Amino acid sequence: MIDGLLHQATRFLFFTGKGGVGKTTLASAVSVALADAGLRTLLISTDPASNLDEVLETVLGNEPRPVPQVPNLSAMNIDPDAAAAAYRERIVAPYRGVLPSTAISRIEEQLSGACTTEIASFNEFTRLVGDAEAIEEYDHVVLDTAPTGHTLRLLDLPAAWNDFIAENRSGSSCLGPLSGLADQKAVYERAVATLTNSGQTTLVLVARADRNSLAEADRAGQELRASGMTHQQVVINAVFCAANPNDPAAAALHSEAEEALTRMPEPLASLPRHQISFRPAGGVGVQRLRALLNPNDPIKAPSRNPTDIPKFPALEELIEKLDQRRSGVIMTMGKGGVGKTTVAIDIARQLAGRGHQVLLATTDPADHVTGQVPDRPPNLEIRAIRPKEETQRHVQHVLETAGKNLDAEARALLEEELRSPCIEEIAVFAAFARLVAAGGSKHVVLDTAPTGHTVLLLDTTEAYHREVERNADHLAPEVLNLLPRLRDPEYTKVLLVTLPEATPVHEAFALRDDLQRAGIQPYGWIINRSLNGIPTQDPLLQAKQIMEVPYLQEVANQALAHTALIPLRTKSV
Amino acid sequence: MKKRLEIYDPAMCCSTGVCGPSPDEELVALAGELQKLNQQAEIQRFNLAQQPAAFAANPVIQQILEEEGPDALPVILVDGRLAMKGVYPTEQQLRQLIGAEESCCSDDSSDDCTAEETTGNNDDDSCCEGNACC
Repeated sequence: MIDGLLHQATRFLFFTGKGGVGKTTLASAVSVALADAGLRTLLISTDPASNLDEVLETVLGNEPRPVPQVPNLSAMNIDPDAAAAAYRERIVAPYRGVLPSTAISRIEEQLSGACTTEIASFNEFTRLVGDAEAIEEYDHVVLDTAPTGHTLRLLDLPAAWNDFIAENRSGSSCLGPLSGLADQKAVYERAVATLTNSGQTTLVLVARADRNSLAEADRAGQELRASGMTHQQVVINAVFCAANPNDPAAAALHSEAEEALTRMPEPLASLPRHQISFRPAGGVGVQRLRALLNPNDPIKAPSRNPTDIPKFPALEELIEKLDQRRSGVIMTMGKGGVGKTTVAIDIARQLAGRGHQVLLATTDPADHVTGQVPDRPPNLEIRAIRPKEETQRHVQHVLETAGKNLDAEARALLEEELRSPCIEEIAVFAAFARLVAAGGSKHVVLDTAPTGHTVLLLDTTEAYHREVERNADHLAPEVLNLLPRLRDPEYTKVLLVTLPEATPVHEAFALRDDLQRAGIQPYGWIINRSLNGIPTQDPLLQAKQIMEVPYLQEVANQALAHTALIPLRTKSV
Repeated sequence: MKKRLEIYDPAMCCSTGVCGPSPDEELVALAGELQKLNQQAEIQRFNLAQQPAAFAANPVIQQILEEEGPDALPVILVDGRLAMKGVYPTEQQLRQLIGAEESCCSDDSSDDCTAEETTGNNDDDSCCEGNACC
């Protein structure tokens, strides 16, 4: 099954893939297997929305800690907030008691944006890959990374930074929060050298047996190869095999998986491939992780029938409510892979179908929206926030406004500073603010990026809002009004999308708490891709139906104004 | 002797402010201006968020921060002495501060200088006020 990966494992195993494909589960299962084979293994999650604690049933921290049930295995989360706090402290600490506290807090505030957070996480990550001493006691280091976009940035940033520092003519470089990193260059270079050395690092692309997921993995593989990670393997997770071909639901799922695998794109199809069977129980807990890689493990269907299956209204009821207003923002949020995009598309189409003016937008770095609405009605506008394009547009805008009266030399300086790696974040933020502002006159349905990214975006919103209040006179009104609009429950309806499974549900709860802390009250839950309500005699699917119940109950107990359940859709069901 | 101009910026991400939520035209213009004057004076810029050491090391800046807090920034020193506070200099003020009125203050002794002065508008306090550059 996955033996080929385990027996010739390189020292570094780098798991990546789109949210929800099971990266963390597989990275954990492989780590447990390596540790069980007597190899000292360190598992690191760099996902801002890591669920490693839940998967390994232990409380992890910012430094490696032994996993109680697995000798030889240590694990850690790179918690972006903690990393950012430590990073800030390193810059600020020498000046406590030297500069007045008001000045200190101004510095801290300036170093509180999403860019700092990302840089600080990255810094931690490179330290663990690039600093031999930090990991010398481990035979293997397994990295469970955030979605592909982040991984790419991780690889490309050091080069970008180096170029930026090297090309910077004026010396007054717009390094922003990067300036605290100048002394780390050697560590970055070692980290990149390690990651791109095929004898040391294997890139493991994790995907599911569906067309979108495989296409995404293929794209990620190509991009990462271009960034120098050439030693690649692919793991197809949760491949469903019908026990009884006469069961329509099971047969449909089976044939969809089969078809996706036969039509696997090149060069992905040529990579060494491993397949993991669908497990109704998922991969939470050390026992299940061990079972996951064991092809002989019997799949036990839960024997007792659940008594109390909560009933939820269909999505249409929620649409009825949204139909009653003429404009406003609807945001779908949740862990990667829960189907935020699909749900956003669905809501947008239905609202457009009822005659509303609708703008559907995605901030997901790996956007698919545009291609998924083939029969778009004229009152449904679709827009993707593509970071690169937004950056270009932003740069153009700045040059035309702030830069309009500059002479050639000053303009060159401005252009140089606009190449700062932090500009992208600003540009995306500005685009987000414009979209939210558009909700004043029509329905704006926003499919936001995965949880960690969304939280960063909100943190940024908060941090900016403080800065905004100080600079109110030269700011665009959409930026000024962003946070108040997001906090207005009439204006912005946040829908938390989840799957009826452990991690997505618990992360949705965590996201709800984060939002409430930011003063944003979510409007409703959407439980996506539920097997409940689908008639089936397939033992695996029945087992999954029963497994879903506790999570359905958890959501039912955490009432928001609305909850909707969307059953799993297959072509023939 | 070139003058030494030090600008102590508030905590910001970069010298033009372009990576803040909205670029500030004044800052962008200033950064360009400073680059042009780079030959005529010794210009240094310190950003509170990035070079706190410079703020801590300078007694004048320390005192301002103690007494008035970070909102007093930016502070501009010329040859170590307080020249401006709370606002950035305009292009003209900047030239005055460093004594750089294109021709009249250049090192090479100059007919140009006289010419410039005589043709220049004497009513305004252009290049010769206070800083005794001419």
